Amino acid sequence: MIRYIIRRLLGALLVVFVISLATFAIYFLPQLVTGADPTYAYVGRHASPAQVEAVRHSFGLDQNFFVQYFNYIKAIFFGRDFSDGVSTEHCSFPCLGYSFQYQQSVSSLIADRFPVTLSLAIGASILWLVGGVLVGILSALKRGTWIDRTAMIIALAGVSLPVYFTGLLLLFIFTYGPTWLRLFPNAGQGYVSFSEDPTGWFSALVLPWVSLAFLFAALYARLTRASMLETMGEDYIRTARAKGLPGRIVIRKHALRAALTPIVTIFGLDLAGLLGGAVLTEFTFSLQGLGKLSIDAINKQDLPVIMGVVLIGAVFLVLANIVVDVLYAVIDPRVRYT
Amino acid sequence: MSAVYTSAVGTPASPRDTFLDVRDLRVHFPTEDGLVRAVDGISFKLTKGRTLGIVGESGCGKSVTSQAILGLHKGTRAKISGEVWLDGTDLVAADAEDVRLLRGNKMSMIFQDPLSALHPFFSIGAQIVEAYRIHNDASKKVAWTRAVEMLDRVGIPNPADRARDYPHQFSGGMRQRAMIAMALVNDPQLLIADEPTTALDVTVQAQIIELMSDLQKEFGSAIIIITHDLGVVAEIADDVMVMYAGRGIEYSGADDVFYRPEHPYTWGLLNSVTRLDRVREDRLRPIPGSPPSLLNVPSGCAFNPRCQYRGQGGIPCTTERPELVTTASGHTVACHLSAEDRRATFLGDIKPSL
Amino acid sequence: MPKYRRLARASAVIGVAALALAACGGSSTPKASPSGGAGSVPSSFNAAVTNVVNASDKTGGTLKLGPNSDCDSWDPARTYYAWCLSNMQRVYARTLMAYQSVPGVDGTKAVPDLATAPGAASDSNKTWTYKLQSGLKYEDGTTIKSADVKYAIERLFATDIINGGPTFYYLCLLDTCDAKGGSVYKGPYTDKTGEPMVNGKPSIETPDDTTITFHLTSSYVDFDYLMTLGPSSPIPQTADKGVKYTEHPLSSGPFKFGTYVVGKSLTFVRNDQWSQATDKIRKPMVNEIDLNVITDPDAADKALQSGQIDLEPDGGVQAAFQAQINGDASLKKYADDPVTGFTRYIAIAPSVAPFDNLDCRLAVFYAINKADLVKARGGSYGGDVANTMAPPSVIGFDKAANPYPVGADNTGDLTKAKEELTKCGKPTGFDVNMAYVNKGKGIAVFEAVQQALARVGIIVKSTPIGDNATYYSTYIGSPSNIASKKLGLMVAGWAADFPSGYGFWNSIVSGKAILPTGNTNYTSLNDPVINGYLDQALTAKTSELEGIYKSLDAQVMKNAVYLPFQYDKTLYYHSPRLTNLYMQAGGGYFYDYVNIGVNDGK
Repeated sequence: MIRYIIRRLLGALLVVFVISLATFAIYFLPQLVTGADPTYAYVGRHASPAQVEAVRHSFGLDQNFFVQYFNYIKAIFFGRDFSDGVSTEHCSFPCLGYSFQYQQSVSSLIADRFPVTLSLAIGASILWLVGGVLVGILSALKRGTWIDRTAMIIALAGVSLPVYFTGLLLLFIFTYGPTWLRLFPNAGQGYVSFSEDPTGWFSALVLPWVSLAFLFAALYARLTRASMLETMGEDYIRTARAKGLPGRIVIRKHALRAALTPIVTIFGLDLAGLLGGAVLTEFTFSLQGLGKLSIDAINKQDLPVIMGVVLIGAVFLVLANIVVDVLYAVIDPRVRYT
Repeated sequence: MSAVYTSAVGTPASPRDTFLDVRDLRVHFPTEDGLVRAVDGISFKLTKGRTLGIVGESGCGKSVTSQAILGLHKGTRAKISGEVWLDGTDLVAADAEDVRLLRGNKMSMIFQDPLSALHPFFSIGAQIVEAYRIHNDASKKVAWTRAVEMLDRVGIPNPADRARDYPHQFSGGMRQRAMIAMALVNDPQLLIADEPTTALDVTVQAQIIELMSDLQKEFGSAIIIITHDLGVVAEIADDVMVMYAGRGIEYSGADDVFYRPEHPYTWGLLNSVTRLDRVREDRLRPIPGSPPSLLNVPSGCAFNPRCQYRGQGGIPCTTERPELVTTASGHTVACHLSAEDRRATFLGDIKPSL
Repeated sequence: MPKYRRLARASAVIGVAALALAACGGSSTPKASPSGGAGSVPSSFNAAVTNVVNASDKTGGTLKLGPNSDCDSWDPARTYYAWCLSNMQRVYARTLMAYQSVPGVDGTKAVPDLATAPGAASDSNKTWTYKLQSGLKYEDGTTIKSADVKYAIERLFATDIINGGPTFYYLCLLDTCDAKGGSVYKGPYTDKTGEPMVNGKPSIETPDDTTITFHLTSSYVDFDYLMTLGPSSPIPQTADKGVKYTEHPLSSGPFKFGTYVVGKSLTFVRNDQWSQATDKIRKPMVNEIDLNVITDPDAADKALQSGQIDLEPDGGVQAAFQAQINGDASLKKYADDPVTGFTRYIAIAPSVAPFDNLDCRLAVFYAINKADLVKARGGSYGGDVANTMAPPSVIGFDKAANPYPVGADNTGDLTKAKEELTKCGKPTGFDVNMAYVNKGKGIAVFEAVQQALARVGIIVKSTPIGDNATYYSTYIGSPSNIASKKLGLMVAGWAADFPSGYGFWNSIVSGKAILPTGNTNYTSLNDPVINGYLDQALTAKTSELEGIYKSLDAQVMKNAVYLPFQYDKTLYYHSPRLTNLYMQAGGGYFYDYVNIGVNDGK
């Protein structure tokens, strides 16, 4: 098992490496085709060619692709010095570079934004996991009844409605609606740090949680229902009942464990995906998380930030993949890794 | 309806006298396409120490019958009528919870594919322990000892270690032995084996059959063995019920069914059996056509579309349903052909080719 | 400023469904009459454009601003977002000169701020001298000295670090430049002993702590305006933190940085070292100015409407709220719809055939449907039909001028257009490529042009590009790219960094301003008559300027390479509780945040 994990981690490193190279290439490829130059996003209007060159040089964009990439990767492992004219700062391992736009180290930008995305993802994931799975189980057990039908219609709506629609709707009702309905007046106006103001944190995040969780809960309810129905039709469930086990034990001990295994896998990947930034939700609720950071970076062609966010997202995903696979082995004895 | 077995007509013997007495059992499933009559009036009896074989093609209602006896359809949308008397209790009328307490205890079941019938996430031992503790107030340790003992009994080598293994770590035959161990852990008086050997290869099949016979001798239980494999039935059954389209069409002692079968469908079944003890003249002759949909059973004799004697001598094949009727030999058959014709046809046309 | 002013909004609409633009017919906006009257009026539609709304002496409270994005930088030298560059800087950064704090067109006048008087010009506007007031202090209590202004300008030469803001103006005016615009002096970070030089002598002299003299490489009439811009705001060398200066610029104004979370929120608190006696520009009323970024523009509109924020400082309201305002008089009385100083036009490149022929260009001028174009850009709240390049806020604006009339309803004069086509030898029309930014309004404008010109047989083909910065810098900003891609028609927009005639015209029509990339004279117009007017203006007396620029505009129109179709307007909404509210014309008609008060008693 240990050997397996080590092998997977090495594989993950390779994947992240390939992703980094691809992201770098994707950033530079269109520029080769169209002749676009990200420097112009930073020089200001009618800058002279000399000004443009100075900025390009300070970004390191005047070097060729491979040198830039090599320097980027080298900095991750060995750090790099950055000078802003007044002082020189050492950006130590793992150095993701300095943002063109914010002129802060990308690591600190990410560290700064991560709590927002983490709060959003964790809160929403608890909501959708509990809500979605419970509804899914109930729906499966009450298959064909009005409970099942209602739940599945709502779930269909949840899957179909984009998060910015649900989000804006919730904002219009609970933040800008009639006074007696303004339960979360500070939603949509940014993140409140948990350590500074736990209640503010909570009330700012409830609506984002709900809108994001609604989408996922709907998905999970459908998945859980399908998985549960499939499991309930399995021979071993019949065996369990033939043994004389009471219904609730059959469901709790035999059915749920098998039915929820695929959910665990998907949950791990979904959560990891969100940790890389929930772009639409962050946008809708003005949350300055990693998703918002990456969109701003793309708009401003801020390469170091784009790279940083992509790499962090990639790392989350490959790690989640490993964790999920290992977890799978723990849950399902048929799966064994060597 | 059979004059002998239908309670509506009268009961020659009290149902309480027989260990298992199934009377006019019907299991219907309402679906969006219509009513599926999976079992449509079946009756049989079984005493302890004896084995009943229920045979028929896939989808004739064999498995549904057995699961209905165990009460596994209770609480679902299935409509069940008739009576199932087990040792003086009518399981159809009984409370679901009471039936549950009997399940796995007084009556237990072995399923077809032991790999899918055993839970993949729990060890063999744990699954047997669970079966034991649900009906016995025993500590885990006692239950475990019991589980190991059962595994030993069904011939699993090194049972103390193997009990900790998971189903996927067992071979097919071993898994079925473990399944049997689990079914027998509470000394059931009625054991229903639903296609217990189908998923196994031939040599293992024989071992399992032998094991079941041995255990029956040892415990004196009644066994219902459900199979489409007449060879298995021949090995183990005392009585045989042939089912077609949810109904019994021939019910008799095993010897009668194998050596003096009277229903054209039974002939067809026998004809399609691979017999290792004879050199066949030609290739297998399967019964023409396929079993009817239980949603839409042919009127009259359900077998009529496939019967080569249809309409012979003006018999009302498509209009009247033949009832199970006991012939002089104590042989019960549901067929419009007269007993004489059947016997003559069998001896003349069928037997030589078997 | 084609790229920067709209940047915040453009990036913020992602993920929000574009709502149908509300038709706003019938409400022709009253022209902002240059009354300059400072009498207090109650709030009504457009009142704050020309008047002070709710004048009050009530102090205290917090002004709450909800922009869609943070400023690109708070370093006064490094911002180019219009709302940051102009009126946000007035909150914390004082300059030698500043725009007058009055509503209406008079707000475009530069008056002394740190200085005691406007710059004393001599040597054909090549030498400018300012005197600082006494008793000026930064937030840390140190005295503001003339050397700090000098240092602030010297650091602009470190173009690899100090970039992004309107620093271009200063570099070649105060030091010798090579052909690419690179100065000899490279700024104080790398050159510890040098300084910018003109003719072998230091170009910035500070003989004492309150005097500063600039020696320019060439005549410059608008130097007072340059002294209103952030880059000339004083910074003591000891306070310069390089790229980190944005995190807490040393305040010289009535408010200083409280807590600042980059990209999210900024709180300004009162600066007790600032003295009202030295400041005729600012009269702070509130104790605090809070700025909280609300990235979703529709959410910001809702927050504005519900009173959770007082203003959206960086732009107008979205289409949905605009429709609401239009239909509800109780909302409309708190709205203002000023002309912002932005002219939208189509550049017609004479370098691309058949536009080398004046008559072919004129065919486009007559066939265009300006009414449709205004609709495409958002309807009457978004702008007025333009017939001259200079917008109403720029000196020399000629309201009567309309050299190429396109009918009373501005939908085009097809008869004239066909005549011109015949004259240019293409009676059945021709094919031409059109450059535009392939997003929202860019597409709508393209379609409107395509439909209008198709009426006379001119087939317009689409050759767009997706990215704003690239569009203006190397797509239409590169004359060689225009020629090679045959970009006959180019959508463009322009507003000056400061509201002088020279500031408006020089970059877009001067033959001397043509650059290989980052060019803003998109048609490479190089007319000796126009160049002559510009030279004349550099040394002219103030009284002569209006006539010169009027003639200049007429001459530009005569060249028929720029086809103006709209003066932009922006629909703003403000909280009813605001007092002393007016739009400051100098920075492009934004509310003058530093002087706004709040009164919840209303």
